[in-house]
Amino acid sequence: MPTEITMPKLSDTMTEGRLISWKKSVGEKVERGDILAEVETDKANMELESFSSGILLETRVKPGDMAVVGTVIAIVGEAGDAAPAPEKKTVLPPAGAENEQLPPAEQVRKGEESGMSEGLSKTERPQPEPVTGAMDKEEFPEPEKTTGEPVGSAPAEAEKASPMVRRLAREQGIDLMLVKGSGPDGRILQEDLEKQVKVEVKVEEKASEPEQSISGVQGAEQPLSRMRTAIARTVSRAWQEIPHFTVTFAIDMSEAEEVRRELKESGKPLSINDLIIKAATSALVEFPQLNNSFAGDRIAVNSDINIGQAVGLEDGLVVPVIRGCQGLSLKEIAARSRELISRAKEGKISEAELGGGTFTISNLGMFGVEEFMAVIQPPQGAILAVGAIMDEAVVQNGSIAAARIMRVTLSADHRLIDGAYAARFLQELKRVLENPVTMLM
Amino acid sequence: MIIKNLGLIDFNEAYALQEQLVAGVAAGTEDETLLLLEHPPVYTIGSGGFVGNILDPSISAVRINRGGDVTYHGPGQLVGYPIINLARRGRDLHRYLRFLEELIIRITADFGVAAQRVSGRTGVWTGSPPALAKLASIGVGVRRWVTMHGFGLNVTTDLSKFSRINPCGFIDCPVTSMFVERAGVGSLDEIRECVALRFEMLLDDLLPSDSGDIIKTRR
Repeated sequence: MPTEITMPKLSDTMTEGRLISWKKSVGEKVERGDILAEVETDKANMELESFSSGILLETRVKPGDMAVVGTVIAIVGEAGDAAPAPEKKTVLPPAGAENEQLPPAEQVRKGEESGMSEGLSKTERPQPEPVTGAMDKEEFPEPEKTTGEPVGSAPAEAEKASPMVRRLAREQGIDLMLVKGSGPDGRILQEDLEKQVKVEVKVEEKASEPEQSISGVQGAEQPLSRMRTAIARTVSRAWQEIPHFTVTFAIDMSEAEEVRRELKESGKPLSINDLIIKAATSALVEFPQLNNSFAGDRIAVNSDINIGQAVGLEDGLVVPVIRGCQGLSLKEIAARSRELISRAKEGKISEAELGGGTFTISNLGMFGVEEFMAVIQPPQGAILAVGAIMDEAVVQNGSIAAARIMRVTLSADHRLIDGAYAARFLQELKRVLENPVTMLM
Repeated sequence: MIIKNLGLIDFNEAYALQEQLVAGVAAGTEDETLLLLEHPPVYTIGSGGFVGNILDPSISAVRINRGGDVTYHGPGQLVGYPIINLARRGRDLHRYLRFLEELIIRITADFGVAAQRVSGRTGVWTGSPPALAKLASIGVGVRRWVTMHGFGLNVTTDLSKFSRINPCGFIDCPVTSMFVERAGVGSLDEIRECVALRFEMLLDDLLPSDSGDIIKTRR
């Protein structure tokens, strides 16, 4: 007999709670007394215990989502049990009802996601911070939840808001009639207000532009995912605050490729990126200003060289950081890098591994990109954009020869670094990569 | 009820002690306990907290099973970790949070610092809107209705440490301390003594125990 697990009432004054993380994944065995999930109300978290044993058949609320007290959030039963027909209007976000009838493939995906709850503790919620800038804890629906409805389509529901939301709306001067509620029956949640604030700001900023620039040609909108929000904020801040300049160098990677091949054949796997990280480390040791941060009235000196690598994900990117590169051998860098990248791709990276970067490398070589410029991640001083290694004809000693050329572009913060300094850094980087044996010592 | 002064203690060490006490209190083998302590500098973040609230990427935060977002603990901040069995005290998390706020408001009043609640923003604040400043932060974790984590009251805390985070997830959330509010009000030792004296009585007033055990173990 399947047992329904409901959002517990943790206080007389609790009407809804937030599912922080699932501690079991769908399909996993659950013993009576096991912790199934963590839920939050106000500033208190409760570990939700299972009062029955069996298999976790289904979870109906995603980490980060609110659910009304008493709502069924999960089903525990025997392997053969069919999960009972889901209730409607249980989960607060608009996609709740649709989510409950996910196709089987989606269900599996969901299960896998909850399975990751141990490492980073949750996949949906603290999405690994792609970038390191300021951000508050607003929540944004996932992109797939797009309803396409324009904001303000549900004025009749406007009164459906808690006293706190109404008070916040008053304080912020938001007309609730204009806010589209994403809760059950269009109930307006705090996050809807926050979204509305953004929409209003956007409308103000774009007031002079043609209307379609706000909502796209067809009037459709796609809500921002958490990761997109984070990226958007960081790059906007970086672009507005940091006077970027870029310097590009062509580097002959023939020898570096040779070294890589030899090491690989001797059972020491290594990527070109590992060589670039190692070479950048030696160049940063020589030109430490590029490893520092501009801090308004002073320069923040970073004694450690912590190099982040941008790792592309489905909706955005994360930048796992290899700390203390100045003390690591090429082999150590390669091992650490491989581990970080694989965990980043699995969504299992911890925030400690995403923070603390002092320099970043972004490589789009695998896409055949010849050269590009990257946006600096505040408060770092520079970022290196790496293109593909390409066959090029070069003139050597008066005759044309084939070479394996890679172009790198350094974006630097001009408040901190000048052009000549950046150029000398790249000269050193080029020297090391073209004489890769020095990296093996 | 047992009240322990642990002095300056590493975050993880205190965490392990809390977990041990929670298990004991849930099993009925340990008395309810209040741990009073200070931590060496550490940033912690609640399970649902947002990494983006850590503004300075060079700092790392310990993610823990409490509510709330990111905060800072360090010398000069009086930290209280009550290990309380709410199963016997009405099973109401919000009431427990309000109790912690009430406790701190009364303690700070004893030392001449007026502080208050702000609805929707758990914690203890000074000033009046919009010039509010956070004097104490609160974040609680509950396992089998036994509480852990608790509050951090800034007495002489180095407040510059808060400038590298969005304390508790609010942008530009000003933070204050007893010292800033009223220099020379009382030492951390005096304030800790005061908490130790008042805690149990106020707890029994606001969250009365429905079991005789508490009376029995009271000293």
